[in-house]
Amino acid sequence: MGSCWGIDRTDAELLTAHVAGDRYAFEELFYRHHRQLHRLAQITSRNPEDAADALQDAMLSAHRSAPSFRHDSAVSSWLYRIVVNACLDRLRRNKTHPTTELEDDACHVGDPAPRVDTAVVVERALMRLPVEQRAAVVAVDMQGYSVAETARILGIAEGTVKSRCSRARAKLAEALEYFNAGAAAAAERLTE
Amino acid sequence: MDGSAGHEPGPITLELLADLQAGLLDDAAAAALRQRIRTDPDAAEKLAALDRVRRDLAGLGTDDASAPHVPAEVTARVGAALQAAPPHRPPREPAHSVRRAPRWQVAGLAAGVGAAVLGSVLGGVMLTREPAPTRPAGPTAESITVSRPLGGLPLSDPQIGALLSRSPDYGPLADPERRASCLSGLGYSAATAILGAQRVDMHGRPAVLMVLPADTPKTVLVLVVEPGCNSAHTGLLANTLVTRP
Repeated sequence: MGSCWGIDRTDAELLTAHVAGDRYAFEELFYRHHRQLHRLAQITSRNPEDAADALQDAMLSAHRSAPSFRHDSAVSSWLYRIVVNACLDRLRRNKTHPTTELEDDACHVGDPAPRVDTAVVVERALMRLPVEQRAAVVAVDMQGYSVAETARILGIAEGTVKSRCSRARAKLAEALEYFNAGAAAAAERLTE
Repeated sequence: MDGSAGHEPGPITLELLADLQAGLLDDAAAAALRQRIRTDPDAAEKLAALDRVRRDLAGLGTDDASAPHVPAEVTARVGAALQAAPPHRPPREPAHSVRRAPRWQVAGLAAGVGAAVLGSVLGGVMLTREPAPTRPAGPTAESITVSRPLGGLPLSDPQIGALLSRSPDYGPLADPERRASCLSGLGYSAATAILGAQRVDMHGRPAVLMVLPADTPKTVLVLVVEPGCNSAHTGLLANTLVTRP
């Protein structure tokens, strides 16, 4: 017999408890994952206000639809997907907003600190892209949606998804100095 | 620029490689470009850089340890919205199958067991039970995930307690793989300790009752499942917290 007294409940246990009527379990689940959920919302939204709105909508949607979760993925993956979908959906509904191209020059994100989390560095570089390009790579590269699914979710043509992915990845490869010529180009820009 | 036959191919730029990676080139152009990349180390390096970008984006999506702090007002706002959202309730069952526990049981429970357990109570439904102040009851009594009428647990608290000191009788779930699949469907790892088990009759249907650890030392979780419980369909019939006798 194991002795499991006092150990936190797993995500799956919290969700099961929530579906069974536990008033606090879902909130506990949200707090456990709130930083990553908020990060995903920020990356996939036009601005912090939209991100907060989408995050709240997503959490309420997950709260309601929890009984239909079949435990065929990790609970966290399910939550991340719901948040990203809420953000992508919001972008689709608001796509008449003018696109704002961020300036292309600018701080290459080579961080002077010796050890910075790769994820944080990538995140900073990503946030310098226009939201349309960010959304495309979040859908395709982060969530693993196909081009066709991404096109449907965002309400755009498949060719547009591909070209946004292409531009985003090229800019990131350069900004992150993932190849020597890119690093050289970055160094040149900094000394200009 | 796209390397079509008969034209002088242009330089292999990062943008061209990104277009290749994104599926924007037609088949002929893509094949021609891939051929050139084989003999061009710079181009190969750029393509590898683009592949690394995709991998790092995927990693960002799951690297929750590095996720930045969230402004307190955002967390508070979402938390408040979740608190205000109605908890799950099943559709009301016919009147014969549900009866709330009397108020004194609720008060006794709150005093005796504490807010932490109340906060984590899973639903259970009882009919005609002997007074059991340790049994979670009250407003959550009808909150249960099952979709069929429920007449309460087929074992009393003392009977459940007795299971803890006997070898488990898993009945149809004796096979460890089937049991693991059932646990997985219920949201528990295959390694979850099962404290006791017994075949039971649930309103004329065979079922398996299992006792699992709960989140405090004084309580256990009692699950009753259909004999065919597996990860795709658990056939959960009851799901309740019981205070250890």
